[in-house]
Amino acid sequence: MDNIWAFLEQTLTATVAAVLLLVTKRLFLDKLSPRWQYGVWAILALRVLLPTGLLGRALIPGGQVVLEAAKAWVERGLSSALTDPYGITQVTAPIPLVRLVGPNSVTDLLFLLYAAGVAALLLWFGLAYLALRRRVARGGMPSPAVLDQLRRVAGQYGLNLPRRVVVLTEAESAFVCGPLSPVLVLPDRAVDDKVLLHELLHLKYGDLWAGVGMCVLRCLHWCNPVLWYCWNLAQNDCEALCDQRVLERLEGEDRRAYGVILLSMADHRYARAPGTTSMANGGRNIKARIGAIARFKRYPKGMALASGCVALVLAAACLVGTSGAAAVPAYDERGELALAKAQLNRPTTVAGALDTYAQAVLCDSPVYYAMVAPEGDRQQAQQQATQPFEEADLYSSPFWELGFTWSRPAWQAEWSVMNLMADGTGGYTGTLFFIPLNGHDTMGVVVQQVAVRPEGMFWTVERLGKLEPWVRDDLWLCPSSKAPYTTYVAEAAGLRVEVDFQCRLWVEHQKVQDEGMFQLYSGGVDFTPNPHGIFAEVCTGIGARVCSTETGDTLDLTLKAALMGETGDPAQALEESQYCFTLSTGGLDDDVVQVSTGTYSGDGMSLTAMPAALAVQFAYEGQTHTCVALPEEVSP
Amino acid sequence: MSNAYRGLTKIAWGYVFLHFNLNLGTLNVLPNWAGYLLFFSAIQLLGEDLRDLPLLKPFCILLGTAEVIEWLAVLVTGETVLERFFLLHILVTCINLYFHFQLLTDLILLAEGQGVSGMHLRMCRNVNVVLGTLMALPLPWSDWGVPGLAAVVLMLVLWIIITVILIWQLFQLRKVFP
Repeated sequence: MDNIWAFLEQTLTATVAAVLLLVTKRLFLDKLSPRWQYGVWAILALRVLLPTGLLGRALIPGGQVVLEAAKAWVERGLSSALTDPYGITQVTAPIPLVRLVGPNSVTDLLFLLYAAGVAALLLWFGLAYLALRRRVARGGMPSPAVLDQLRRVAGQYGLNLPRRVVVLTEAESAFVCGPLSPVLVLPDRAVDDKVLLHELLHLKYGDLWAGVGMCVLRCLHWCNPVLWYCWNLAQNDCEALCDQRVLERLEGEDRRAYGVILLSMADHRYARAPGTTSMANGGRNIKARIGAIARFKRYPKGMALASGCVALVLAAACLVGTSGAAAVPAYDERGELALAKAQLNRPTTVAGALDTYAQAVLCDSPVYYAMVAPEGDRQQAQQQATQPFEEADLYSSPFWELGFTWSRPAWQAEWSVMNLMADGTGGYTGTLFFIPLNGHDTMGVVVQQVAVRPEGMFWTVERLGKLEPWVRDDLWLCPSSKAPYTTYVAEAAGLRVEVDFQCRLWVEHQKVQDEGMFQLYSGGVDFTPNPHGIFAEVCTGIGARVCSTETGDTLDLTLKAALMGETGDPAQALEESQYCFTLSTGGLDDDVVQVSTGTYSGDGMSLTAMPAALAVQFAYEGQTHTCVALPEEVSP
Repeated sequence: MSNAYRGLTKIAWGYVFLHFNLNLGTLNVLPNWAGYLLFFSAIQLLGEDLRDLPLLKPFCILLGTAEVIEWLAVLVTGETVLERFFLLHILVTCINLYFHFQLLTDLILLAEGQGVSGMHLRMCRNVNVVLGTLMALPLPWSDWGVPGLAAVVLMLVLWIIITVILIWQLFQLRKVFP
């Protein structure tokens, strides 16, 4: 947690988990055992310790959208040093991580106040513990009779003795202090065997450590009263469980006597100190424990299965949550909530980034562009996304020039990308094509050069040129020598082999489905971006030329070509590649492919960009030559 | 006919309503809420013999109400509604797991009180609660491909077998009571 919004997200999630556990515990109060009642607090402890949003899931569907919107609204007018108003709030750790920068805003100050509160409370608990240890260190030795009584109780129930036993005059009842070196502190009067048994059982089950853990968790969320209430209940449940363990070891009248002892402690002061357990934990808590004693029964062993199953479902809900995916905003949504949805839907794939950008262009939607804009443009895009909705300016658009149809919400076109080449820095460059939907006549297509670049776990699209109208008689793009392609060149056996490879990729365009009165009918294309989409369809074109390196004479040969990476064995690629072609020499516009083993659509498509190289094989002068062709020229 | 006989008959038929569906369009003519209505009636009949059973009444009402809401939602909109409210759905799932486990535990006690072995009912109870838990967990079955699909099919087959055995066992058990 490195800013106040991360803390808010973490503490709100923990609060929701706490409320769910409180309701469930209330429902099962008289049905499931004290072990279960105490054990489920471990779920809350884990919830507090696990960063919210882990695995991309959330406990409160839509909660993150509201929080992001509130953050953007608050932070836009501030210049916080710790919070980026346009970034996504991420909880990286369950503890406050303070950066050494001066606070620039009220939210920075609030976070520093929170962090200081954590430190101060930890210090306070630590000092309280040290003060108690100092008082305990001054305690006197118990009488031999008391030590004998203690040995007898421990022996009777097979329990270990604490390292040290002291008598403290001011102690109102017995308690154990110190998880590392436990000391049993006794009051300066006779103590019942059952009280000793209670404290020895705390020692046996390591309840002191649980108490320390709860103290730390209290400190982490010191300003959350719901969590304080829960930890109070958890400590009471710990005592109630210890009562249950005592009662399981007692018989008949002893059980009743135990309740009477507990009742006698109702007026004792309860000073909560970390690293201690005390049977007397306040009048109200004792009342609840007496209620539990009245309900006492030995829970059958078989119930452990049901208890475990209920706890497992609760744990999965609180720790894993449900799908945290926020809905993609509508094209005409504006304002903070829309922007928050856009922020939470930034593209995670290259195809998703291109689809988001293309829909931003077609719908003229700044909120879609805000999802995919590169860092330099993002602030401006996000500011535009918060402005009131305005109808698109149709007449200045290249789509208008070419006669595309505008039908709200978008220009009736679909996109594809050609020549999507790796740029050597982890990103890609390519040409976006916007072609009319089936049944629409236009004078051409709209094109734009773009770069797709990674930014952390997301992808952005940078415009490398303007949207340009490309007037064409026919709209056939692939295979076509008029559309972009890359020439791969190899030289072997005195021959120069040039292979023109063309690849057009697109995602599956969802159709809008509408339910009529009696039947489901299919409408037009859904222009909502799919920021996590993958390329689902590809169209390839290939042509080849072979000439002598010495004379320049062209030759007619049969070639075999396969896609491969920059490094690797071309022979292996020719055997294993999903995309392998046997072709004769000829241009892209000729039908040169004789045999193809390509996979051209579906989720498992492996051709998602232009290949780094081509493996080429040909037979010449009685010998078979295999070589690697590297990209030399990009056309146009 | 004794109360026990009538109570067990109602519980057996309750499970028939709960686990089998007959849909006419969006109308389920074997609604789950009818199963809970039968359970509620059976709890009243068996409450005298089984001390802990009446503790299940509030849960029975709650689960029945949830099923009425689901049944109406499916009838009107064609879609379930409870799963949209994640936290409420989790609560109902927890109650559901406990309710059936405890109900069957009580019936096992009833059977064993008459000298009848509760082994088969106990097995049905345990498998039922484990399957119910597995199905409620957010496990990415579809991401696990063929093994995930196989696991889901296996669970469904097991669940159908267990349901049939459970209903058969309950109809058999009632014969012990005059």
